[in-house]
Amino acid sequence: MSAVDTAPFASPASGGVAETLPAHLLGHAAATGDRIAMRKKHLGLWRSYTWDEYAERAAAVGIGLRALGVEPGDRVAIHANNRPAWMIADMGVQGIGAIAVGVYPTSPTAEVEYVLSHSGSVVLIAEDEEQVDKVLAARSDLPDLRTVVVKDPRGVDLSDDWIMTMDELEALGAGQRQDFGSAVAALDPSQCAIIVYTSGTTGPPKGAMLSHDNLMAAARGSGTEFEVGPDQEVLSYLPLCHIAERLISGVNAVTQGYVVNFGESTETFAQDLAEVQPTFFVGVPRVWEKFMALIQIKMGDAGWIKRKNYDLWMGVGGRLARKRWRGEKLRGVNGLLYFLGWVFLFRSLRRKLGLSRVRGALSGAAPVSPQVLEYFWAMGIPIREVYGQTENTAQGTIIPADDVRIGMVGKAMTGAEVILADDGEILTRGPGTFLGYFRNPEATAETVDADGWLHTGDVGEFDDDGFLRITDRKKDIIITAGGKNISPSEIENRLKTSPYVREAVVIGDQRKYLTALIGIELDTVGDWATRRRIAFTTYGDLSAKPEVKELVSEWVEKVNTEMAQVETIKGFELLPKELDQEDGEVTATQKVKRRAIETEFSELIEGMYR
Amino acid sequence: MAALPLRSVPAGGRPSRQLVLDYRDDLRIFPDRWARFGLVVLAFLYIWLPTQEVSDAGLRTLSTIAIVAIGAIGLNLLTGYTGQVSLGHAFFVGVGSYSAAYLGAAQEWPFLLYMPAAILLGVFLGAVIGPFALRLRGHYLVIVTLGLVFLGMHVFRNWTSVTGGNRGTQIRGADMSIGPLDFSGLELFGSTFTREQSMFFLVWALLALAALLAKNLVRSRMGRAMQAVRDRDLSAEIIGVDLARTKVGAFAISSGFAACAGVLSGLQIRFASPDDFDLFLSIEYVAIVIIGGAGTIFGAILGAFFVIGVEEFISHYSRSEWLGPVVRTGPGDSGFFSVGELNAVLFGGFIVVFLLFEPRGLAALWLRAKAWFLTWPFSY
Repeated sequence: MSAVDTAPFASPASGGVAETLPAHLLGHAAATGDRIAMRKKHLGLWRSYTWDEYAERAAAVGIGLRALGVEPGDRVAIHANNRPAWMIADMGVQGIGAIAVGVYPTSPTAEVEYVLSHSGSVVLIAEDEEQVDKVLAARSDLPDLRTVVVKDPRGVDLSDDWIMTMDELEALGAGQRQDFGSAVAALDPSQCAIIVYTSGTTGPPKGAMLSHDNLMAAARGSGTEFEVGPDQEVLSYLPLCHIAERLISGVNAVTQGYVVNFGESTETFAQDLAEVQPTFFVGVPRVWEKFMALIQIKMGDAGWIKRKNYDLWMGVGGRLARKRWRGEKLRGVNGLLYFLGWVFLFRSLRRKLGLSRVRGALSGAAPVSPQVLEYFWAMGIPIREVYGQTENTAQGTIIPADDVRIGMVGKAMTGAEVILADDGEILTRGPGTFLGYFRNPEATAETVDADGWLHTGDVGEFDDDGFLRITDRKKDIIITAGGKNISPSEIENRLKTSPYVREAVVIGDQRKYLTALIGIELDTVGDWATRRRIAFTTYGDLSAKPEVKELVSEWVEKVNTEMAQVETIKGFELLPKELDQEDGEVTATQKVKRRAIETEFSELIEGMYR
Repeated sequence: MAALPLRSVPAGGRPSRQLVLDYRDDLRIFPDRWARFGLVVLAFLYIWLPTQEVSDAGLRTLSTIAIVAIGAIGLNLLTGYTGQVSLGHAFFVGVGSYSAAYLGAAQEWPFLLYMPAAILLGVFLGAVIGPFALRLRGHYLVIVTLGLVFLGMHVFRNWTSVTGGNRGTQIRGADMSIGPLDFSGLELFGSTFTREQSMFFLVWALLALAALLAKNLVRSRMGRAMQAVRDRDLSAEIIGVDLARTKVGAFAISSGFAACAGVLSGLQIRFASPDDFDLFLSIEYVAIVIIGGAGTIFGAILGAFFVIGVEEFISHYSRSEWLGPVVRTGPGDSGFFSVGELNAVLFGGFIVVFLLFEPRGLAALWLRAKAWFLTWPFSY
């Protein structure tokens, strides 16, 4: 480890060096260089990366990129699944003042091309042959792209001058940590550090520019609110291009200094989670719903003793959770009950899921059904909803740890202001507010007003204690022909709590009544059908079975009984295919593109109103 | 602007126990606290049991169990792990016993010499028989190994200078000392132990050693190769397992264990005669492996407990009111079976019942109970 030049970073705040993520990285390398920063599962073994290695390689990437002619302010795209190289590249790019642009690994060629050309990226760091092939297909339309760096060159034609390996890039900049240190020291924290392309349920993705200051504000805000410290272990599994995982695996990890674990692949998520047993876990609603479906299906197959045990303690846990939401400590009889529940159910159940050590858990990025949150609270997982978006670096609101209210998204986070506009739209302001949309000043002007208020596009309301409740996306709110305002996401999320329902899209804008398009969960419904000896071939075939329609119909009826009269679903159709990113039906984060769905399945929809 | 907490305190949490940081983590024999706790309990029983008021007959039974378990572990390596069914195990046990008689008692070799010599002889003979398994499978291999038993009996009966022929041979005065410890009558810490007590210490220590050896073998490259051969020898060969080496090796190792058990049983009953190593002994070993659980080391030990236990039970109650009419205990006595015949019938029955209802043996009962708790709160 080079002793030179890391000293000022040991305390960036006092040493005159501006606070940035690369500065923090160098600080950790100087102070606790031999500690573990990341782990990656490779061929069955969890390999460790120390802070020193992390900094050394980030420096090599940064200086290597500079040798390729990357200037401060240039965009460098990263197109890979979550792995240490992603973070190393991110830090290297930010360290030399260039701008890191993440591309979703699941993006089809057209989307990759759009992001690369819109951002004008000069270098692309791609994971493997699969991602390189996508960019090769769009090569002629990407005049700005000078070099493609590939991490895993298996199968890639390296005789092409356009392509080099990550090892070669790191060799270019090896051993020049001092230069990297000077570059980091010279960073202007008000400049753009990363561009995050929002997934865009309408129209093409927009590139939100976040500065170093934004990221530091997020580190400060979420570091306090999430209650994360240096003794945490997390598993990095959500796409790193999304602000949520970037905050957990990047921003907070590098500022707080906890360990980030990267699993073997996206397919092995469940196994990786069970091995890592993280102490802090962030899930999107889809992940929590999937866990819930998994438990319910497996419980259905369990023997009666195990089922009774589960029913008993989940019931007890549910009652105890209500006390914990009010901030009560579980003492005396309640403490004993929780302990017994822990011995008989929660401990083993959470261990099976991989959440046995979780001290804090968050749900964010999309609205979640209250039933889902209650379910996890019942087994003792203190899951809190957090509300934010890329444009405010996810610095919106969060449920306070000592005053949990299910169905709300909580109070403004430290440093952020949250108010409502006259029409009910939620506005936020604070150090997390982004610099603007890249190459799109019109959209920027529409989003941030003259007073610095960010228009979130969400509609909500405050209760008397200042807790925010989100109604829905402003443009998603359904106004029925009868003039009633209805929030579809609430109904949709309630529908999605069934293990058999994966997608639900409520329809009814300018119509007499509500209907829904429902997508079944192939695994669970397939399992259900197999047990009933219903033969099926594909998703479409299974979806078309009258028995399956009957199964979903029972569930819809049940949900209807909980809804107000105008909110009941009068008819539904099952989607004949799985929604897919390639077909433009969902975004990379699996959010449904409502307009696209309504056009694609217009015949199905019209059929329900005939 | 408030500075972020830039701590130089130990960063990073402690990794969870499920995290495999090294391939060695995957191969641990005693992976958790419970396994280590069990080990301590066993060690305590080993020291404590013989010093208690257990009769010499009781200790002798326990020693027999350990001796048979050593042989059964050997057969389990061959049958349970490599999938080669053999009825020839009795022959190799016989080789061990006669080695003890000839080398130990007649030639007066020290224990530390004739024991390894007997094992090596077993290994060698096993390696000679092994190649048959390369050409033959299933029933055909069983018939060849069956032939081995009769071949062995013939040799035992007729090589009188070594085996004493039909009348058998005494095994008296064979050395049983390892260093300062003489297991024919142990003197330790000022107290003297009987032959039975000393024998108990010796054979259970050897069983522990054998079990450890076998456990280590099956988690090694050789062990994985054996299991691949068992599951499908053709596929095993395709993934690069040397079939000849593995099958012959399995026979050789298995026979080594059998010879070791043979030496110890010779020392225990102090006599060897050809009739002791007939087909029935082979069937008894197969029964132990099947009843105990093929493909588990502790299954072999469980099986030994069960089979020897049943044998003891029958011979103990053979004169009782309810077994008396069935069992013939002397000439002219009424009853259909001799004690040995009843055993043979029972074990035949047990093999059938276990193969039908619990093919993985007694060990599976335990494994299933364990799985029930390990999969808690689910069923899989």
